[in-house]
Parts: sequence; C-alpha cells; structure tokens
Amino acid sequence: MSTLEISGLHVVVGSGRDAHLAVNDVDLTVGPGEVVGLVGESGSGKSTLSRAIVGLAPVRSGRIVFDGEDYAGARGRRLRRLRRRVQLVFQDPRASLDPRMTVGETLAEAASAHRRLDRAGRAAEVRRLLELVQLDPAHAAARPAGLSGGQRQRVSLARALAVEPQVIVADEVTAALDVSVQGAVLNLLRDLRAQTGLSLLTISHDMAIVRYLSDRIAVMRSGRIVEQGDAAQLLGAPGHDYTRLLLEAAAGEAA
Amino acid sequence: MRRMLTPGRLLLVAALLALLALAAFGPLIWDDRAEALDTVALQQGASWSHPFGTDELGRDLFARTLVATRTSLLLAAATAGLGFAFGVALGLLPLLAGPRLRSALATTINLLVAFPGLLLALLVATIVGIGSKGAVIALAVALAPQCARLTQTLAGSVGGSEFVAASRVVGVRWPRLLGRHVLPNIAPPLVLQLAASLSAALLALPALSFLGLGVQPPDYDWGRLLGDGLDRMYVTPMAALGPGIVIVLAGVIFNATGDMLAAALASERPDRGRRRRARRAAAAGPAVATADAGGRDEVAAGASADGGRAAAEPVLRVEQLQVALPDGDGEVVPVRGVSFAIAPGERVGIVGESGSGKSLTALAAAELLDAPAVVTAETVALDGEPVRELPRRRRDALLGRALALVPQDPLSALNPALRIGGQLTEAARAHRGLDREQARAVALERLEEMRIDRPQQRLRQHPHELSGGMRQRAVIAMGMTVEPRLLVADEPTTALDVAVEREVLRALRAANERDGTAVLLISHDVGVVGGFCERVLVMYAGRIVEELPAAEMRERAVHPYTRALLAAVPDMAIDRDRPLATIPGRPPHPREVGAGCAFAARCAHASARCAEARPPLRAHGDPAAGRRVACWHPQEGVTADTAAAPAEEERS
Repeated sequence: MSTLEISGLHVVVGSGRDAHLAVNDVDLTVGPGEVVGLVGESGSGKSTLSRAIVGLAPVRSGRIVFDGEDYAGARGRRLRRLRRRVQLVFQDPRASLDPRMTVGETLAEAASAHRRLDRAGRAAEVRRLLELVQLDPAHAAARPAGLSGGQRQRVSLARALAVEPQVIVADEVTAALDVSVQGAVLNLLRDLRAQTGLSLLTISHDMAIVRYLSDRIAVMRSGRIVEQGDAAQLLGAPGHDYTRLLLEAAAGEAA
Repeated sequence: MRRMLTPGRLLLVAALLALLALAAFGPLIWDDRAEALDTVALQQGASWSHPFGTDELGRDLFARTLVATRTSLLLAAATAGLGFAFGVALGLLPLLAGPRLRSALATTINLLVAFPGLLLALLVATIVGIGSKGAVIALAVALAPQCARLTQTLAGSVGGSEFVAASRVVGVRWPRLLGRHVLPNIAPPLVLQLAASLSAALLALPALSFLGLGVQPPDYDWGRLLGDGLDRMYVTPMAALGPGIVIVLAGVIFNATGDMLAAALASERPDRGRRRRARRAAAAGPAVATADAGGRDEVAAGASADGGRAAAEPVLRVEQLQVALPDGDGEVVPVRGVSFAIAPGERVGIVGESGSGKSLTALAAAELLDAPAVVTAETVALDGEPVRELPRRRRDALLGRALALVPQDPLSALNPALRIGGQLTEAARAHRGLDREQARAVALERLEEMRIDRPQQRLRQHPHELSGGMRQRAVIAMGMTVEPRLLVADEPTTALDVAVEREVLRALRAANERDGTAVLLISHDVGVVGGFCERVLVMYAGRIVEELPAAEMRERAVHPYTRALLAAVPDMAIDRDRPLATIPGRPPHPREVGAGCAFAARCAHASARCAEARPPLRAHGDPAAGRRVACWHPQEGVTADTAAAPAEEERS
C-alpha cells in the first residue's frame, strides 16, 4: 500500500478564450488505507481534480506521485499502470455505464483489461464483484436501464474494483441517487474500505457525507484547497470562513 | 419482436431477396438470351418478346438488364463498402489522435467534404485508370468524406461520453473501446449512411459509365445499358427507361432496408425502445384514464386540509388529481388521486423521491402538462376559479395572472437569445397591461427585491452572462412581475450549491413575505422543505402519504416512510462508527403499484393488512391541526430510532 501524493497541481480546462484554471496549486495526500474527504461547492474544481488524477483532464503543471513515480501528464503504458492502482467512480451511473452492454459484460471487460482470464474465470470474477458490492449475481444479465439508480452505482463501483486498485476516487457517487438508497451506497464504501484496506478520496458537496466517511477533510473553493486537516479538528475548529459557511449550511437549514 | 414483421417490412424483405436472387442466378438463367444475336431485330422498340427492346446487335435488352444485375450490384457494393470503410476509418481517427492532430484531421475532413465529389471521382479515375476498378476506387474516394464527417461527429459525441471515459480509466484499450462502445452506439445512423452510399453508388456508376470511364465493353452493367439506351431515347425510350427504372427500384430497396436495419438497431437499446413505443401509443390517441378506485376517501380530508386558514378561499385547491402517462401498449399512473389546498400567502412543500410524482403533481395543478400526459381531476381551482373548466382564452389569462413557475433549470425559462430586460417586462405588459416604462420599473424593483446587484445593468445582459444562482433569482423576479397569487417552484435549488441555494430560498421568502404570494415548493430535499415551508406534503408512489406542519416533521412525523426518509438523511451528528440508516428496497415503479400500501414492502411495521388494503389519507389527531396520514400503523414517538436495517437493500 502506498501513498497518493498530489503537489502543486494546476489543471486548465477549455481552450482559447474559454480556458480557465479549474485546479489551482492543489496539494493533497491520501495515505494508505486513509479516507480523505474533499468538499466544495459545484464548480469549485473537485470533479476536474478527480479526473486529472486518473489522467482524464490534462495537467498543466504539478506532480501526481504514487509509489515513488510521478504520473502527472502520463500517457500510454504509464497511464495504464497508474489506473491499475488508482480508480475513479463517476458521479452519474446512468451516464457512465454503456447502455448497450449487460452488467456482466461491463464487469468482465474491466476485469480482463489488465489480466488474462478465460471464459470461466471471467464469469467467476463477475460473480465475485457483484457479491462484493452486495448485488445479486443474477443481475449480470441485466442492462443498466433495468436497474435502479442505487444498483447502477454499485455496478459502477464494482467496475472500478475489478482492476483491484489501491486507491478509489469517488466523485459525488451519491449525488444522482435518492436519499433512501444513498445511505446504502455510502455504507458499502465504508464496508469495502474496512474489508480491503482501500484508500479512498471521496468527493462531495455535502459536508455531512464527508464527515461521516473521512479521516481527513480538504475544503476546496474556486480551484484551491482553502483548508485541510484532521476531520475532527477541522470540523471542531474551522479555520476558513468558507468552511464555516459549509458547516453552518450542513448543521441547520436556513431560509 | 412481433413489431418487426409488419406487412410493409415483409414486402421489403421479399423485394430485397428477389434482387439478391436475381444477382446470384440471373446470369445463369438469362446469359444465353442476353448474348443471342438477332440480325433481323436490330434496335427495336419495346414489344412483348422484347419488353425493353433490342440493342444494335439485336440482343434482348430486358435479358441484358436482368443479367447486368450481378455486375451492377457487385460494383455498387464494392464502391459503397470501400468508400464507407475508408470514411469510417478516417472519421474515427480524430478520436484516437491528440488534440492538435485532431483539429488537423477535422480540417482535412471538412476540406474533403467541401470538394465536389464527382470532380474528385473523375480525378481519381483518370489516375487509377479507365475500367470498372478505376470507377469503383474513384467513386469510393468521392463517397468517403461524407461518411468520414458523419462518423467523426457521432464518434466525437460518444467518445466524449462518461461511459467511454469510465472504460478508459478501467484500462480498456482503444481497439476494444471502438469495437464495443463507440461503434455499437453509433451504428444506426452509420447503417443509414451505408444504405445511402449504396444508392449513391448505384446512381453514380452509370454516370461514370456514361462518360466512358466505368465498365468497358464487352462487359456491361446497368449504367452502360442506360448510357447506350440514352442515345436512342427519342426512338426507343424503353431502352433507357428500362435500366433506369431498375436502378431507381434497387436504390429504393437499399434505402428502405437501411431504414429498417437502423430502426431495429436503435430499438435494441431497451430504454430507447420504450420511449419510441410511448410516443407511438401517444400518437394513437390517449387512453381514457381509469379512475383509481378507492381514492374517494381523500376528498373529505382534503377539504379540511388548510386547517386554521380555512376561512380564506385557497389560492389553489386540488381534488383527486390524477396523471396518466403512456407506457408501452398501456399506461402508467404516476399520480393517483392527490388532494390538497394552499391558503393565500402560505408556503407549502411537496417532498418525495424521484418517481414519487411530486413534480408531475405540481405541473398538472399548474396546467403545464401537455399530451402524452393525461390529467384528470375533480377540481383544480386557482384563485377560486375552476381552471380546467374555463374556455382556453380565460384559462390562459387566469394562469398568466395568478400563477408563476420557477423551474429547476432557470435556463429553460429564459430565452438565451434575448436580453433579461425584455423577458422580465414581457409578462407584466401582457398580463397587467403595463406600458414599457412601467414594466421596466416593476422589473427593476423585483430584481432589487431579489438582491441582484446592479439591476439596471442586468436588464441589458443576456442570460448566459449571469451566474446560476442569479439566473434562478432572475426567473423568480420574472415570475413576481405579474404579482401572482401562487409561485410554484419545482426543485429550484437542486443544481445549486449551498451558498447559492440560500440566496434563492431567501429570494423566494422575500416574494412570499412582501407580496403575500403563496409558494408551492417541490423538492427531494427534506431539509430544504422543512426549513422553508410551513406545511409539508410527503408523497410516495403517486400519493400523499402524510401531511403535517413543517415544524413538527422532524420529531413528530408518524408515517413510517416520512420517518425513514428523515432518518436516512445524514446530518452532522450521526455516529461515524455505525452504518447509515437506509430504507431497504427501492421505490416502486408506477407499473408495480398494487392494491395495498405502496410502501409496505419496505416498511418495518407492515402487517398483512398493509399488503391487501391501501390505507386512506385521513386526519390524524386533532382535525384542526391539519395533519393527515395514510397508514394503518402510524408511529408515535421520537423519529430518531426508526433507522431501518442496512443489510438487504436492493438485492431482490
């Protein structure tokens, strides 16, 4: 198990006149087995940061170090090596699952992306993955349209787990879900971490969710991390106005 | 699959098979006749023995046309296949390339598309050489740019989708990404394009043959026959018309086959198929909504709903509202007999999960649902007037004057091409008869009320120049310019973050307090509704299951669903060492709602009775308190301990 270490990261999105610095000089560390919560409002750059970590958004400058190797701007073989270790779970499972493929096909594809598996091996792996995310293995034959939101997000999580990563970046994984199933997905994340010793970078706009899951919390605003630290300390004595605002909003609804 | 075999489609398949059979066996059967010279019947017109006439050597043109089917189709298929393959390959390249190379490729494709196709073909044909091979390659090159452009556009959009990104992150390589994710998802339009290419090749090959560049004698195809026939067009028209008709027929068959294949491919995707069927069912005429039995009991309770404010005429009174939507061959009923009333100046919230029918209820009450949706109701009274019974004109006037809607996405309410000013003054001028200056003054006042800074300047701006929260406040301001009795806000803060959400709620509050405008707030967020509203309606599976004062919701809700929903919202006090409370199972699809309580399957307190009989929505406790609940086993006591077991959620 190793540490994911991000330092001085800058990410520019858009081009020409629309270009802007979505991630501005971000330092963030996710230690082995640690759960780091990244909280911030929409448009603060959290999603761009998560995509940049797995090489889906171009890094302008900075370092993304894992296992002693800098993967910032990595391509091809090196990028694949990083993605074997660091996986991303996308926000909206409706968009991130191919509507034409069955759950089993999606999972088998991911499982055999880095390993050679025969037909029986793939089937066994699909079964194991579905059980890992507490879904009935019979769902392997279903297509995403036939599943509920919570079930889809489990499949999406299972796909990330299929490559046996050491770190999972979970980008607003419950934002597209109903309240009544949101808890189940969060519980699952928590269980998986306990079972597998995964490190987790969990991203949310909801302070209560981040508080529940995280050992450490980082607060992001306008592309910058404005405050980070031990969860209990940060929540107990927020040092930044924006953190206080988020805490206030989470504590009681104002109108 | 039954739908696939309509008579039209069967006919088409038969025609296609006949054409292919002709290509396969035609030369075997008619070759002798097509080559037989008849020196006494040179260049004859159409007759019974020679339907298309004969050529200059007395050969039967009908037989020659039949025999030429094979050559013509093979050439057309080769041309279209080659051009299509080349075009698709070219069109996929930008997806694989880096950003700089990508724009270079895009420019190249655009240039090729702009270059006249036939000119390109002629150029290539002269380079490659005269003859069928030259013609095929030349036309393939001419056809390729169109395919490339289409492929590039389609692949660009699928290639940028989240599911392709997700597969890339997992480590799937490009060949597989293209084969399994990109191509299947862009197949239907590409199949159409291939069919179109085939028809284009069928028509273009004769043109090349006509110019002497295509098939060379003694070989012949339809184009050659057509070209030869054209020389004698005025003497023996059938010599040219015959092959011409055959070419058109074949083209039509290929195009129609392409249509059919594309439709079949598209409907393979389950959700899309369902939507298409829904549309068809809607087109066939809306089925009459069957009134849901057992909804009556809610009427009596509904009348007392406005509790203490009963003295005043409610701004909105809805009784037995039902919304049906087409679904497959039948219909589903996502809203099933909803009754409620909103007093003047009151803030009422409807809370529920996705699919509970909360938005449909509000939109139906505001007369904003169009066809496929079928709305029925015993009463919908807005400002005391029966909206649904008014003639169209008066109804529109009433809705325009008394009601304003704030949608989830403010951009859907604002015209991106127009300045804010025009849009904010339009309603007031139309519904309140104000002139331009007065309307402008009202708009400014409203913008200030919504705490939008520099309102003068905002009026001159376009919607995209405003931030998300500001747009939403501008929409509220727009609604308020008509001084409505009721503002319906459908998830007005869902897309916004916390700080902005507060601004918007504050703006709604301002509208409510200064003008006494009643607000109906629809939200999935129990916290938002609880904080903003005075009274809350909790919806589940198309029905109101509980109605109670917002102040009592957190601690004194009695319906197990309300209690479970509240417990499922994580707050800042939850124990980090225990699993989060969840509700097992999932909300039922409108199709699955049965005779009993819709929540029974997920409810910890359900009994046999719950599964059999649906509990009516009845007053709970003191009728004057305005509380209603639809449950056989209402739960008293503090809400907190209702956390359901986290284990078996959604396994079934």
